[in-house]
Amino acid sequence: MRQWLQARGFGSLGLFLWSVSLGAWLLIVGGDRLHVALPQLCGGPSEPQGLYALEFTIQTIGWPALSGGAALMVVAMMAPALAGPLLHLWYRSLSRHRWRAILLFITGYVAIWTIACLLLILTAYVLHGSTGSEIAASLVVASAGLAWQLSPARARCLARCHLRPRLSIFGAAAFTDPLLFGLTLACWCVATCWALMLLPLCLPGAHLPLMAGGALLVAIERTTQRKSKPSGLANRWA
Amino acid sequence: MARVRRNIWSLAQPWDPVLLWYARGVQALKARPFPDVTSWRYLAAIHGIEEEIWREFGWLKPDEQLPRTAEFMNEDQGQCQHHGWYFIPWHRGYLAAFEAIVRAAIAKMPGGPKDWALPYWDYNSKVGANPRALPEAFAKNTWPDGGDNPLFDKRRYGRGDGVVVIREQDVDLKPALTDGQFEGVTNGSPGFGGVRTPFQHNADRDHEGWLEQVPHDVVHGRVGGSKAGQDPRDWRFAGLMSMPETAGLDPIFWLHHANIDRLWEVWLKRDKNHKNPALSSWLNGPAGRHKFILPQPDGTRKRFAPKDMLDTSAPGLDYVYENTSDPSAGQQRLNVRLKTLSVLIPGFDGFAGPEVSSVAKKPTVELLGANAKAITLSDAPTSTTIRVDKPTARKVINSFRLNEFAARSVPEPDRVFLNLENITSDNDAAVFDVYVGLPEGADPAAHPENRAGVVSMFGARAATNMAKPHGGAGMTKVLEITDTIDQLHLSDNADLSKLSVLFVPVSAVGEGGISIKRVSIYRQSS
Repeated sequence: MRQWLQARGFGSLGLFLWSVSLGAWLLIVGGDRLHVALPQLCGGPSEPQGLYALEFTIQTIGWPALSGGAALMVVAMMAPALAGPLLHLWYRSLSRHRWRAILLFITGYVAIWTIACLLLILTAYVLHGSTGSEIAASLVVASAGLAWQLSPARARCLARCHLRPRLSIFGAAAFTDPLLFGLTLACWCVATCWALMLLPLCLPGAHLPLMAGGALLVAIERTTQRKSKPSGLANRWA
Repeated sequence: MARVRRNIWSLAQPWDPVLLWYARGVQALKARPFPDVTSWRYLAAIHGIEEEIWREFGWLKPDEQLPRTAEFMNEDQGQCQHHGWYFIPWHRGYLAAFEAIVRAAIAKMPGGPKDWALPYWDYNSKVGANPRALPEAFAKNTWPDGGDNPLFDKRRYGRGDGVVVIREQDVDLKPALTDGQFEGVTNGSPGFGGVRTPFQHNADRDHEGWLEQVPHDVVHGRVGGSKAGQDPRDWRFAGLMSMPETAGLDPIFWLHHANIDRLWEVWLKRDKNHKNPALSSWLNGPAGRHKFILPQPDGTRKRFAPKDMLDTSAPGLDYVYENTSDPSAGQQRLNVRLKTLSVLIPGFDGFAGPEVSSVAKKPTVELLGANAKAITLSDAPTSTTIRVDKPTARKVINSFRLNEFAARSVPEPDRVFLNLENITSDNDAAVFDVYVGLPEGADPAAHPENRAGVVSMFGARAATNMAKPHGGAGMTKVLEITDTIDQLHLSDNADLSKLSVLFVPVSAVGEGGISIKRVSIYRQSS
């Protein structure tokens, strides 16, 4: 059974990351403040618009709950995709600095994603306001997201999610390299997966099922192997 | 009775009947249309294919399309396994399928033998004046049947002018044959057969085993090479054997891989402790995309797993090698090292620990030092300096202390490995030597004891190409430098806080042709 799981990407680290993701899901389902408040906050055109909407949100649930909820959403959806980067940090760091490197990486990664989530929440507000309904906003995002999902630009972003940077082991660079790795990787992840995050925010009524679907897509994409095509691949996508 | 695969150097040169029938078989396969699963091109595309390259090289005519079958698109093309533990068994299956198809083609010819077997190119052979030279049947475009020689290809650039020069160190079998473990560990010894991987067609993530690294990769680069006077970073001037996407098109490929396959048998037979992985994930692999599948002479396709590749004399394979004797006369890495240490350490007379090849415990591997920044290699020698982490270095030094050693009941002091991390290059044909611990200004040729090994860029272009699955990260090469560290550590005037590394190109690299993100060293404690 252990070998069967390992062969399918569920080694000890994989299982740990899936457990972390599951824990975040339980907290969300159990009712963290952001997700409980979402239907109310994303209620439609009568609600405040744009930056006022964000201000309203902050006043309603507070900064800690807002950013915490966003971070929880990131952990739930993205944790299983982080096995490769974490192994890179583990193997390429001095043994006594491994946990420090991982902590710095996660700090950078979650920071970027949290900011991105807040911007996506704001975007969802704007879309609700400008389209007049959740359904219309969702259709706009679904259409744009589908086009993005199939575009070469998105494939280029995804390819950059698989890059592994140099990690210095001495001096200030020993601190900044893992942090920059987290920041950079998160930027490419946001660029790759923004539509999967935005869609659940636009449709608060189906927020959790859509989020689960998005997480499943991310997991499948990161754990299954893409097939090399025999044609048209001679040029670098640098 | 099992068919015998014979050493090419024990055959009559240049046109022993075995080679003449091979040439006729190759000619027959080349005449078949691409969509025929038993055609030359279909079989080569199973190893790898890139349409743009095949068109440029003339293997696809302007009005010709790639096979459109679902089998070709989804399963058959691009299966070759590199940089991982399926490299050896996958290539055995591939070779057996090819051999059966060629044999069937030969058997249909008037007077064709029914028991033809693929010969192997033993570049370490004791037979023959220069076993590392390209056999004449492949080197000239003439043959007894007249017309173009099917075994000749002009895209075999060797050193650049079409002459293949392989040095003794390019085919040094010592690292591969003397390592007791099949499966390797990340950043430490990659083992005889490589580290654990899923289905892995492109060189994207893990470490290749010793056998894949040398002689396999290096022979590819030394035979294929790139055209002299042209930019070696441009694939249009690369030899067929230099790139995984075209290597199977060269008839010498199959004799090279027959020798690699033979060396698996040599490794297994030279020591009773040398064993294949017993894990189900290897035996029944691969995990990932799909099971291996190859064409049969009757046009059907057959799936296989590594467990089907363990016994060459079994009905599915049914061959033996003419010679699987041990070229290293039983020499084992651990024994050689302990003998050296017994000279260097006063009072050292060996340890009563277990044989390293029988140690089942997974070793501890940790980073010991690294250089300060990424480097690029060009056509001139390039050096860098590794700064060693003092607390980790103390662990290495302690591992030499006899009392520590005895207390832990381990078979040997720490081993040390040089890692060339995330190498990216558009030049698949480049080969370079690596030296460690050379005194400043010293001539590397005068210090063979400091030579860590030879590195080939075979497969680097795919690992560098971001359009490939998991491409862009490049590949990592591992070289063992334990012997050098032993010597440096035990000499009084060595400064172990820094270690110089020198890269000396053996073939054309091109301006900034190779980038190495980090040069590091790791300790491996058993």
